[in-house]
Amino acid sequence: MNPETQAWQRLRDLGSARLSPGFADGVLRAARADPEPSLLGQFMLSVATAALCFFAATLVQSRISRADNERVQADWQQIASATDDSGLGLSQ
Amino acid sequence: MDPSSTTALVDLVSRAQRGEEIAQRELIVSYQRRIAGFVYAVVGRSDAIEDISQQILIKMVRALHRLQAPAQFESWLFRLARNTCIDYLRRQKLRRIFLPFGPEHEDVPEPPGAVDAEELDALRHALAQLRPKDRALLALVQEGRSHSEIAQTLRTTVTAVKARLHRAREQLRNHYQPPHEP
Repeated sequence: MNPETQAWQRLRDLGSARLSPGFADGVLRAARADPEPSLLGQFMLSVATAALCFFAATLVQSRISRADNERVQADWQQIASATDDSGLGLSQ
Repeated sequence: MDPSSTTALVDLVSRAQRGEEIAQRELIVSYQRRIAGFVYAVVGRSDAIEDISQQILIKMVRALHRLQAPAQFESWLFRLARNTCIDYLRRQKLRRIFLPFGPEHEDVPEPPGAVDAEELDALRHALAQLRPKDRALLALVQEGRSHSEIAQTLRTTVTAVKARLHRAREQLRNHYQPPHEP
């Protein structure tokens, strides 16, 4: 065996010596404990998240625009009554 | 690999594919040392070996049911190992870009005693000069993968593998300086 081949062998031996006892059991536990999400599952989760965000944004937007409308309507009513009070209204 | 051991391996892989935990454990035990050695050759950092080996073997257990030809198991496993190591090195490279102090903390030399032979040191030094893909190529050859298996792994032709291997070996030879005998 030439020195280079020996060195490769030692490199692999050294690498394998770094594994702690019970490594295989640890791998099996980890593989079972946290199952990899499927592609379809990830896609469905993305769709659900996007739908939820869209619904939340629509809800917030509708509430904001309703509040704005109410405020604008109240302002106009205030202007209208002020106009009536000052006699500048259309009713003669 | 002789025919009887190939048959035994195919049987073991088939059992593991059906979800038999004993077979899965046996597969991990049979390959963990070779995978760890392969990881060390490609990544070059002994403190990352266990973590990356674990990632590879977890992927193996989870994806085993998708392997269509149990006879191709070894080739498939080392493809998984190669891709995981290359991904790890890419992520490390990205981290170095985004973390300005990364290199000081990540390129820490091996602690004394971690490398116990001058030949090994010379080989590690030479490998470190090569591109990760070339290191993986040489490590695959050391693992006994044939040119056609490597070509399948890299999704290229046998001729291209031979050419790349020739260049990688030449580069390794240029950087490999074995210690002189006393």
